[in-house]
Amino acid sequence: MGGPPCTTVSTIEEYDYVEKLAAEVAGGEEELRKRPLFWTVYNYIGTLQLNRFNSWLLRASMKYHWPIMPAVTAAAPLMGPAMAAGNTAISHAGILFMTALKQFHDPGAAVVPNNIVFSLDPMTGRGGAHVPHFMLGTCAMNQLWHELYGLPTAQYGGTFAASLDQQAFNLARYLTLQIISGTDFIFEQCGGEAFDPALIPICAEIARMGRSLMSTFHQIYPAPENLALDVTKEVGAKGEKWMTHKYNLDRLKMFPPGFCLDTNAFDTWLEKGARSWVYDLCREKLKELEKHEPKPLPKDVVERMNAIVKEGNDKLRVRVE
Amino acid sequence: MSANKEAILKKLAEAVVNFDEAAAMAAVNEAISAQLDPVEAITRGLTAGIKEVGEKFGRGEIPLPFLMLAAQVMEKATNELLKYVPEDKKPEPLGVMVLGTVEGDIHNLGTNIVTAVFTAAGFKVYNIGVDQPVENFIKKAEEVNADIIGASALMSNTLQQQKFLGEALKKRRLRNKYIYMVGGGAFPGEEWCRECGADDYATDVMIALEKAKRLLAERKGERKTKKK
Ligand code: B12
Repeated sequence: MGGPPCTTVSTIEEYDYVEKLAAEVAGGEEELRKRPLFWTVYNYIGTLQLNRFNSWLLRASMKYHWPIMPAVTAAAPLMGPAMAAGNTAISHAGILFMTALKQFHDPGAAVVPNNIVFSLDPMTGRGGAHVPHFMLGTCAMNQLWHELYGLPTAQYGGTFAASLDQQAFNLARYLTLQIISGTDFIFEQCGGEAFDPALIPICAEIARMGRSLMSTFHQIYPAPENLALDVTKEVGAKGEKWMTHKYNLDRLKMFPPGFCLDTNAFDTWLEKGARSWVYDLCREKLKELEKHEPKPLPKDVVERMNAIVKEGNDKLRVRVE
Repeated sequence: MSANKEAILKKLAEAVVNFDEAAAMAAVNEAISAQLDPVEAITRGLTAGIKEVGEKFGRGEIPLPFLMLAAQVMEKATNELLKYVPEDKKPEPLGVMVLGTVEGDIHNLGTNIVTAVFTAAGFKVYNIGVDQPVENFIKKAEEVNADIIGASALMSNTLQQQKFLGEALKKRRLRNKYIYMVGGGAFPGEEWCRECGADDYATDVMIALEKAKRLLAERKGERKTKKK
């Protein structure tokens, strides 16, 4: 597609083209409407104010009746209160403000709060999600929306580090926190700080972990079947038969293998070349993924999309390198 | 007198190191009553303090807000001392810099820090703010006869603007008139710096300061050799 549809300097008109492109990919306006697509409208500046970028995004969402996920928060401790309660209150107020604006101009459109109680690392000024402020705040926000309003919540997680191993660690930790605090709609943002394609298998690994955790959550409820009372009685105290018991065999898929994690013993790992997860195994997986050929879009769709991009670039005089 | 002078200079430096505005202003008053040369009080007193704070920040020993505080204390004390310097004796700034965040980008934490630290280090900085079109950087630089133009970008999709600025400068035959520096959190490094046609880059304020000083010195050296 002749260069990126550049959004360097956006105007509200740009979103007309975003809408048109999305409709082409989805197979038409009507098909697109059936899909659960959400705009994420960020606002971390002043929680009750918008700038021209996110206000365009919000207005475009109204024009096309897109559901939105507002992420409104302050970046503590440089641009917001250092205490998580204070930032949660401000962030909460901000989301209510954005929700009210949206409902006023676009009544009935879905709004799911994108809970984030943001914090920076004061040593560097860059995003720092490893601090308690962030974790406590986002958990509290989830609780507020769940228990006060009975509404679902969304939440994004980020990489917030430069090195791959640290990014992987951050993503995994994030996801666990999000799941445990009951986030209904989770998405992880990969890259940003420093993007390496090896992040793709890392994200795949982490996404699989999240998906299997979510889909097997029910196993922890103390229902008779989950407690395996009858089977325990049958197998007895020695526990020899668990391995081949039908009860377990039927449930082995709840123990998914890692996508590229190495769970060998230390000696075996050394013998096999002591390869690291993020640097060696993920790069290797990447080679496999590179072979994957996505189903191409029909030729006429690609042609129409190129035409939309061209029209947009000409009309908006966007400079594409 | 000299022991007293050294003691006052030390107090000035320490006040900046301790982010202590009251102590800084008290030391300024002491310096004035002791008839210390205000310019020396700045260059040997306050500047020594900010240098130490900068080094500590560079080593990851103090967080950003304290660097900002120290710079604010430094600025206030400097302004007070400068009131006692006759107009024709006011020290020339180390360099004049026009700084801003490029069009499409509203991140300004970084440029505010650069402004504070560069000002504290003796630069005259014109911070033109965020979301600034290429045109405004050039207009301001021409207006204030700047030495350095600094453009900050934090996002991959606004990085392009740094290149456009480089190109615009070249097109108007202004490229050699200014030192052009680029920076900000999205910076992909050396190669991009070359592509923008910039003289240098930094993603850390202390490194930026060192580079700016070096580039200015080089330029002054060049001018001297040219004059000869
Ligand atoms: C704080 C922050 C914000 C704050 C900004 C507040 C403010 N007033 O500045 C808020 C929350 C408002 C914000 C908004 C957005 N942000 Co933001 N933000 C950040 C964050 C966490 C830190 C940036 C920062 O201020 N760092 C601290 C300062 C001190 O560092 P710095 O700018 O690099 O400056 C230092 C040096 O670079 C140097 N320097 C700075 N300028 C210059 C200039 C020159 C000439 C020189 C030599 C040196 C120099 O000195 C400084 C001090 O050492 C980064 C994450 C990250 N890892 O960087 C994301 C990040 C930059 N944001 C991002 C995004 C996407 C956005 C939004 C678009 C989100 C949205 N969807 O709405 C909006 C931006 C809207 C817009 N049009 O601009 C992305 C960019 C992704 C990318 N690679 O393109 C990042 C990387 C986060 C991420 N991983 O996704 N953001």
